[in-house]
Amino acid sequence: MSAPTLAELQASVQASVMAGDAGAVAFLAKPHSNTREERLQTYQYAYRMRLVGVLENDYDLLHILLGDDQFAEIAHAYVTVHPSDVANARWYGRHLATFLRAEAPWRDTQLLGDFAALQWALGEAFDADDAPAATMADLAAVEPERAGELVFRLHPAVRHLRFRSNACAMHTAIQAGDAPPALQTGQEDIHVLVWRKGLTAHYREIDDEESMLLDVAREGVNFAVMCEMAATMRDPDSAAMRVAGVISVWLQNGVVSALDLP
Amino acid sequence: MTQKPGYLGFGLGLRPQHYSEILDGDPAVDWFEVISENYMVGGGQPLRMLDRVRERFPVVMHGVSLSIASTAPLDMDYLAGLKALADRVQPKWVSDHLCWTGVHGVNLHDLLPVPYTEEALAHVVDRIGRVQDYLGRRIAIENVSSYFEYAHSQMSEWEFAAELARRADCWLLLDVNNVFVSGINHDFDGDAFIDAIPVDRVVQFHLAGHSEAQGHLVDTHDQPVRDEVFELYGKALERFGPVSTMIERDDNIPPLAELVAELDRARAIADRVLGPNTARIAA
Repeated sequence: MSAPTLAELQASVQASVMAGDAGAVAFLAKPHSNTREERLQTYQYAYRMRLVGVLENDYDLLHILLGDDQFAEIAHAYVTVHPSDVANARWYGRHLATFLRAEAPWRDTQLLGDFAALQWALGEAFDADDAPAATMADLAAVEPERAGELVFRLHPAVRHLRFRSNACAMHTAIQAGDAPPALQTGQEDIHVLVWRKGLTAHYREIDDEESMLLDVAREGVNFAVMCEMAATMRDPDSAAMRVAGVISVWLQNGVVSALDLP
Repeated sequence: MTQKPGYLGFGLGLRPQHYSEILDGDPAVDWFEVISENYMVGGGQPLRMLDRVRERFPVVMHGVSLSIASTAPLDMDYLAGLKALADRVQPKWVSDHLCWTGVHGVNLHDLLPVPYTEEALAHVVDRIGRVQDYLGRRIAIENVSSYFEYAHSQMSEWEFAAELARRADCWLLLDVNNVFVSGINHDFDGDAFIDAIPVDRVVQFHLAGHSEAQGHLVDTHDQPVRDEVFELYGKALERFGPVSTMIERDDNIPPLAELVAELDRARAIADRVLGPNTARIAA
């Protein structure tokens, strides 16, 4: 057999490692102990277990929720469907929520995709870009007549999720070491805000008005227009007060990184 | 060749489990090695902790994703992230492995061995040169543990590594555990490996634990350094003199004190081989 090129060799070994077959053994030297197949199996086993380990690390609470067997079934299925295409394994598990929402039988349990999405968003918030946090003092320094022009720049850690299950309550219980509550699912979106305060990632369910405000703030809509939009959802007379209340909570929690004036 | 980086003494891999023990205490650790990829993120706790460790300890960066021997194009996004981290951390040096991690857009997240051929040598030398030019610094390349060898290799691993360092003008990170593991797996003498490596190229030693599979050893970093590896470390010290030494532990991570005790064992070996306090860093 002629010597393979480096590219041929790597393509063959990679294919064998991923598929778990013996296709590459012809390129391997006969070891003094074991067979070539057994030596190749060390890499085949490590490949799968390393990626499963990455998922176990990123989705530790989902692992607790499901137990070893169910989580392993999901993780191995994910590894089969999603070979890693990222240099940094930190991002390997980013498709798990989408996977669970699309693939049978897991797509039939809304909670799984929601729970994975929450864990991933919390991980993203944990090491998202740093940015300053705007404060109530920054807001107080704005001239009152210009308040309507204010645009609230969201912190890079902020995420807005939409669930159809009580994944948040499940997550809270498991994180606290408590028994998870009964599963609840519905047809209405449950909106969830994820943010980072200091070095800690947080989450909470938010109502439809705060959800709307979060989306339009991200689009750069100013305070006056936010109030007009809130007025279409609830009592118009208290809209400005309600929006100001939401902004106040955001400022106290590091959700806003800057107050911009045109 | 520019001057070798200065000797750092005895270090450990920085692991999140030990952040508070390190930052709130005064561990007998001279320096820390960080896994580059763990800190190639936007911000938050990882980079905040690294900044705080960096204020008190010298730091070196050790990557697992450079894939220097891959026939895939160099990942310039990865290199940009690596350079940005190096600019922030100002490490004493940057290292990665003599291996490939994937081709055709796939990353196996494993350190696959290189065939020891002239073709592979030329390929890796060229890529190290381009990486060093991009990063603006000389990098250190580490020998890996391997579980198979290629039938078409034309030279030994140590001949390949020595020639690589000379032609690429890079540093070497000598992983003593990997020499031992590969020596058992491929039936070569670890002493021969060590004796072939050019003294002026080695900037760092790794020590780590390994596991026994059926018929061969696996580099698992999940248990203490074995006696045989410490013995080989002593032989490496005899050849290379004081070289910055650290212990890698990536799984089954014990309290920091246990790793410091292992590090003290390395210090004692250095005292015995090199003379008392020759390898100590002044407090």
